[in-house]
Amino acid sequence: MKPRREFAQDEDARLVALLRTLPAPEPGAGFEDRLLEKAMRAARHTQPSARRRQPAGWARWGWQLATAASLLLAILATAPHWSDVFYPPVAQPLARHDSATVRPVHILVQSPRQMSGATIRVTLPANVGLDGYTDIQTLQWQADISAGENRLSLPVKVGSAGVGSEILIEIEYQGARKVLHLPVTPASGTGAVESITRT
Amino acid sequence: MSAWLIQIFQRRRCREDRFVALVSPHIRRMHRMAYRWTASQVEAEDLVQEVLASLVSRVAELEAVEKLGPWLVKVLYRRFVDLYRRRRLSPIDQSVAWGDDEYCEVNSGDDFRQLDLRRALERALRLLDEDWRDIVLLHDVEGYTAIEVAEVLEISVGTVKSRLHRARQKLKKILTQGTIETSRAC
Repeated sequence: MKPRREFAQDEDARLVALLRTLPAPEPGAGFEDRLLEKAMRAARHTQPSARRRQPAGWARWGWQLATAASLLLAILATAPHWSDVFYPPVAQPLARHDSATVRPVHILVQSPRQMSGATIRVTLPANVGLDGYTDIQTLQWQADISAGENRLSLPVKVGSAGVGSEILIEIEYQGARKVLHLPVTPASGTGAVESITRT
Repeated sequence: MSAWLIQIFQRRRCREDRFVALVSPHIRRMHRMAYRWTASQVEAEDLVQEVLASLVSRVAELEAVEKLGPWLVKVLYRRFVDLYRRRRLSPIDQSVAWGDDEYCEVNSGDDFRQLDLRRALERALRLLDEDWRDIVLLHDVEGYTAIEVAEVLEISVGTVKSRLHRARQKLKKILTQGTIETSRAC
């Protein structure tokens, strides 16, 4: 009978042998040439301008910090008005209940390829807001959209007057732009996928 | 004037030729590693292309690197973390990423038992913590040494070894316990 340690080593060896057989797709002939050509073309077109645009590390952090600080400031500055925006007068208890409800809206973005640093812009109509971004009608950020399905979740607050209007979602990537109009319908339950689009 | 222009173009071509010569031998392995991380052929290709594009202007730096293969994988890994793992902080939900592009390769010599075992292993790998999985993928699947893995992941060799040991233990446990019982067709 084998000692315990030797037995464990055998097991490890078997596991490693199995791990070494895990398959990976082998690209066809000319893969390197094709990839290098694309990479060098991309470098020729994007690197100089990208480098000009990119500030130094500390400056980039500074900008990000400043942006975050201004966003926080904007949210804090509007804090006293939050109740006015999302809660109608007490005389309309039903409408008050409607407007205070957050409706998560999920948008499926089907992308045929990876889009690194795509710009997503959400423009809200009057009486529609995003939970946590009171008084902000346009919200823009950069995100990496992967090939395949991506889910964008928006915690939407809809006032009763907001029903019937449209939320505008724009996705921009390397000069290309996709616009999605999302109609604001009366609440029909939460968590539903409201719209499906291809980018 | 024209001679001056020609000289500039020649210099760029020369730099690009040097770049091609340096990185070409490593591209397939970079792609394979990118595939192991992203689990998608398309994303793996995009990732490698992006890394290469970012390195074209750094030929002199590349020439000074002693072990270029692991160094390139290190750059690739950093880019992968930036692009794929950190984006979880954004409202974009990436929960569908892993396993979407499962690759199955059937060799004539494979028997079904072996294929089944491989699939079970792939799924067991997905159950590991990312930190452990990265080490298993680099060391056990792709054959990098513990020192190279430590370099790529910027952790100590001791950490690599201990995590590798624990990861293997967990993999064996998952496989022997039959945590994953179902087998799916590719």
